[in-house]
Amino acid sequence: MEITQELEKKCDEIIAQYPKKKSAAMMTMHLIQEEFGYFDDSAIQFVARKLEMSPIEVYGMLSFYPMFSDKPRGRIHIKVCRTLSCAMAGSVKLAHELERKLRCPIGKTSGIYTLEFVECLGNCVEGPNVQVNDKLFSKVAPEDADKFVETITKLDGEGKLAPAPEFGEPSGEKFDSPEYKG
Amino acid sequence: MEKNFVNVNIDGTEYKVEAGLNVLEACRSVGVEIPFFCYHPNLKVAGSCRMCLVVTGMPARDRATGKPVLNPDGSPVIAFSPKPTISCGTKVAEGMHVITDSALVRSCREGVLEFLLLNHPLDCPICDKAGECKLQEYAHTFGKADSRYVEAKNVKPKKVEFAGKIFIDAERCILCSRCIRFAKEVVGRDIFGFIKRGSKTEIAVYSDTDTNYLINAADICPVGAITEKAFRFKMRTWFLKVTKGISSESSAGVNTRVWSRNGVIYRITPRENPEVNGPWMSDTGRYEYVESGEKIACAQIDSSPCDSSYAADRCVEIMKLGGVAVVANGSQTLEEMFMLKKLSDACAAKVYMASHTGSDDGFLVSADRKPNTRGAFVTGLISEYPKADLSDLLGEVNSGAVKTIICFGEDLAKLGFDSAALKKANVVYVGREACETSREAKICVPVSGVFEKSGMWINRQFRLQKFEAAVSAPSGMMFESEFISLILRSLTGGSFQTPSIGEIRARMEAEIPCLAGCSKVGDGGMPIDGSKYSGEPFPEKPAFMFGKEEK
Amino acid sequence: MAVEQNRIIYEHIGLEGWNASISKYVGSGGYEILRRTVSRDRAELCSEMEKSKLRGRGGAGFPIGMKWKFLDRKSGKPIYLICNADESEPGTCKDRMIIYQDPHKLIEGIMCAAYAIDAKQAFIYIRGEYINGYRILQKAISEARASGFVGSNICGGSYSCDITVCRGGGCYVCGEETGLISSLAGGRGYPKIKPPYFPAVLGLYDCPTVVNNVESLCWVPVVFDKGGEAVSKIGSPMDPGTHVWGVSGLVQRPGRYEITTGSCTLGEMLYDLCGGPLPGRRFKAIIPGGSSMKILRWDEKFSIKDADGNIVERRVEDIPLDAQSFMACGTAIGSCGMIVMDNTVDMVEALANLNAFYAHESCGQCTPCREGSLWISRITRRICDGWGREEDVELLTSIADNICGRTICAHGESVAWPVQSNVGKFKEEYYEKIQRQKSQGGMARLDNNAYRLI
Repeated sequence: MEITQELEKKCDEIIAQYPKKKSAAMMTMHLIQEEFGYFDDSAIQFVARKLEMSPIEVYGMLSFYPMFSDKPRGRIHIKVCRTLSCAMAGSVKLAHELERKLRCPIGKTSGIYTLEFVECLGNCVEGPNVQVNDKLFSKVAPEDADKFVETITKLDGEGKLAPAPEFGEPSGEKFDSPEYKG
Repeated sequence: MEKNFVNVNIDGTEYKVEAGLNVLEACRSVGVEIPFFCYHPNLKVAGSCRMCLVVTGMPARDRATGKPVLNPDGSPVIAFSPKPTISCGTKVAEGMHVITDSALVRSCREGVLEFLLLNHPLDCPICDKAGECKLQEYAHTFGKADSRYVEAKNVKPKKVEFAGKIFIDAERCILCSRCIRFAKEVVGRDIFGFIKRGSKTEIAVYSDTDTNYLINAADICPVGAITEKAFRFKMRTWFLKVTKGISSESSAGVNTRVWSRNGVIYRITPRENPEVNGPWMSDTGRYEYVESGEKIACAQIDSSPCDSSYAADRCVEIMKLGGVAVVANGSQTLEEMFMLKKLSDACAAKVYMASHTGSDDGFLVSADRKPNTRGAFVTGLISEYPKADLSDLLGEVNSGAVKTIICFGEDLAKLGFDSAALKKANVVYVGREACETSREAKICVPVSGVFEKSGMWINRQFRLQKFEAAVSAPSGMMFESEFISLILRSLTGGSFQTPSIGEIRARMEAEIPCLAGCSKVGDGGMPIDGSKYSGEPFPEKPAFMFGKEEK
Repeated sequence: MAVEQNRIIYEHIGLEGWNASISKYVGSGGYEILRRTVSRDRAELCSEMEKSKLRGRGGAGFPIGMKWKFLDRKSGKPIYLICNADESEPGTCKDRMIIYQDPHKLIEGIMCAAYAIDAKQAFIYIRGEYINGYRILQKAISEARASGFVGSNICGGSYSCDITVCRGGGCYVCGEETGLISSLAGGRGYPKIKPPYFPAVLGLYDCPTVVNNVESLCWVPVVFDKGGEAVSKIGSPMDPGTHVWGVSGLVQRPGRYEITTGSCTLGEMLYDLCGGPLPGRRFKAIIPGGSSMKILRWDEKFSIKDADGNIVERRVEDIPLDAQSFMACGTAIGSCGMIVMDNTVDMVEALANLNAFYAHESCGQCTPCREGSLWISRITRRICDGWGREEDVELLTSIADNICGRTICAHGESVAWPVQSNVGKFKEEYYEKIQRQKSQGGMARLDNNAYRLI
């Protein structure tokens, strides 16, 4: 991975916010994850060098936190909440529908898609919740799976799956709203 | 130093234990054993294995008045903690009550042990740790005969070789983090680390971050997750005989255990000595037993084999011609040096010695690579720190002043002597290793090697330490002290018998004041007064236990 | 009595025309309390907090004022304030709204608290999944910094303190305060052993540290404004204030409801505010506060001592909404994320779902939780897959008993409590399921996979 000067600068800005260099690890790793989509050896060595950590420590963190990955993921990363409230609202069925529709097994990457079950997304009252890249979709009913795939593919085409947040943005995009129901 | 004591009640019995100890050590100090995996006295407390859970309580105090609450019989009411606590992470306090044997504590131990065995491969029959494995030991004490686990076991990497010295088996690992803490706290950098999460957590290493202290991780591993490559599948530990040794690697004088069977050494591990090496040793020190290079099989005169005693007689003959010099060796034992001093005095020989120094790693490999340079001072063999070569002796040989050199295990060819110089004098080589000097020597006498003899060395701290013969020497080998006294007897016309090691020690005690008590020195060694030599330019730098704050 | 919400913390959430900008917040009187706070005496502020008797809103319910009081102020080390925004307990989603819609309320709370405890620096540890929440907070903090509410010389006074936002990486254990500290210090989010690592003494960088939940910190300006005494009189005396209940699961109107403690009962909330069960269904069980709390069977009855010391019988729907009342019924309100289950829910599947969560989220540091959580998860998974054995029921309880109370952090209890309570209260359902499976010969997965929960 190419470590650009710009990236180094961003790292330095993060590091400056903390009393100790090592504290910047989480944010620096998020930066790398967002920049490259995964960590390879050079990324691990970079973080280690930058934060005066050892590579094994960085790798230990990388493999501890599920949001970081040492393998490339699809451009559209679909995370279906599988925890109880969402599961009762049908998220297990939804995930299997998506699996079928996207031809991508749960937990795997296939083409531009990565489909995963994740633990609680913190929006339990509006399940089932699905987070696609940075965008949270709530109330995605299993029977709307086809529609949902269409929508996210369209949003991806328009580059809208990682929007800069507007103030006052609701906690998630309600998929049962007229906007999506059509 | 004055020690403070506190009163602690352990399982209903009152004890006085040292203040500041943790509950685990306090119980151990009075003979109450608490099982543990992750705790290690030389490492920070992790508190993660939960094997050492006990119940502790303190005398209750009335909240309003602060006065102790008493039972009707006047004894204090003990407020026990609602949850069991880890004894490794709890310090003793005055009046503390500890319960190490109750239904709850037993169920904690059995529970933890059951959990640890769930995903453990149970491959003791092929595990090198078998016999000295904590999991095996406690499974015997606290384990159940049958398993309640019917699910599939976790699969993790096995037989991962690292740095060419150890093997890591993540399935056997109980995630105690001892190796991680050892590297971080003792070596000073991260070598091992945990990866992944939950029950899938694995012990792992990243890039090759070798250290000369890596194999200590195999020693402190309570199970067979980290094993030493050189010892892999070599021998079951319970067949091995252990003898107490001292590492000859450097003047640090690391205490060791030498493990052998039927005259073959299989491994060397550190022997704990809190004053010298703690529980650690270097990796290089572990392989001193590995036979490298050619050995001298039998005595030779002008390269022709002969009997050792005949060689000794011939040696005496040429010594009688005068112009004798002795090349002593910092690896010789104190007893040998003492005898050699007598010999050199008897034939008015000048004693030469060469220093062998290397880099000081700041830990347990010291700059002086000879284990007993200080012994040479104490026995009076030398009076100033030796030079790195023997150019002085070479000058004497070239001038014809020295006609005979009795050389103890030094390769003169490496200390400034060329082939011509070696031929100019009569060289008597006494040693085990074959080298250019032994091949060029007039007389060559093989003697017992370092693992084949007992003796004492004085380390860099002026600590007198003894070691024992681990294996016996091949037939035809003489002890060095035996050879020296043989010559001494012929030379002086004396009629004494070859003294035993005990007799030599008794004479040393009588003649050298600072060695008083040396014949009764224990396993931990004995510090002697070396202040007389404090002006000498010893090359060692402060390190670990040696004049430096503990790492 | 009609059930009414009392919106103190959620005063701005969902208001017509409201957004998260600083102009809206200042326009509604925001940051006035901070302005007044920075000239007040710190000891007095801390004692107001203590007087309020407010309990932490993160789940453990430890009094906030006490937490501040325990700070080691003699060490001479800097004091740090950490806002715990790692809301990851299943069922809990109250903090999300504050962060997304009213971030300045949180920032004012943090700055008031930071001033009161004289913190050198404040951190917000926000869970990684709240990516936009992080961006909103960053933007809000820079607005507040520009207006002099964060950073140097706050409100023109002599006190300076900045807020740094750190994102989590998707780890539940980082919501535990010492786990959070480990993660924020840069490392695996391993909770620490206590003693000696009590955050108030040896917290972040081994310095005294206060870790407070988002909602707790939002209470700080309220207390400083109204006075501790006045706040302590809102609602139940032992658990004053309001709680934001996040009701999820199988009710007509799931949602977040801010209710004065003790002002209504569980039944009133579920029927009047949430609209009762879905058509044609009955309530079966509820998990009161985040999935780790002990489950309540809807038809359970408790014998409770009332205020006069008489023993009265209480149904689940009669439990008043406050910490003490739930405690008296053998469970706890936790973080008030209530999960409601009706008669269509298979309790074994529900438990299997939670077990999978706790097994996935166990950090793996200490033995009982690491090995036990995965074991029970595998067992319940196996039962759901149709391969249950009668002995599994007792085995589950026995494993849970071997975890509970023997771990480094409270994750052990989080693993054990759902198992102990669920298996204990619905035992017959387990046996019934297992026997049905056996009679049908092995695989007997529920036909209707709409209710597959794992």
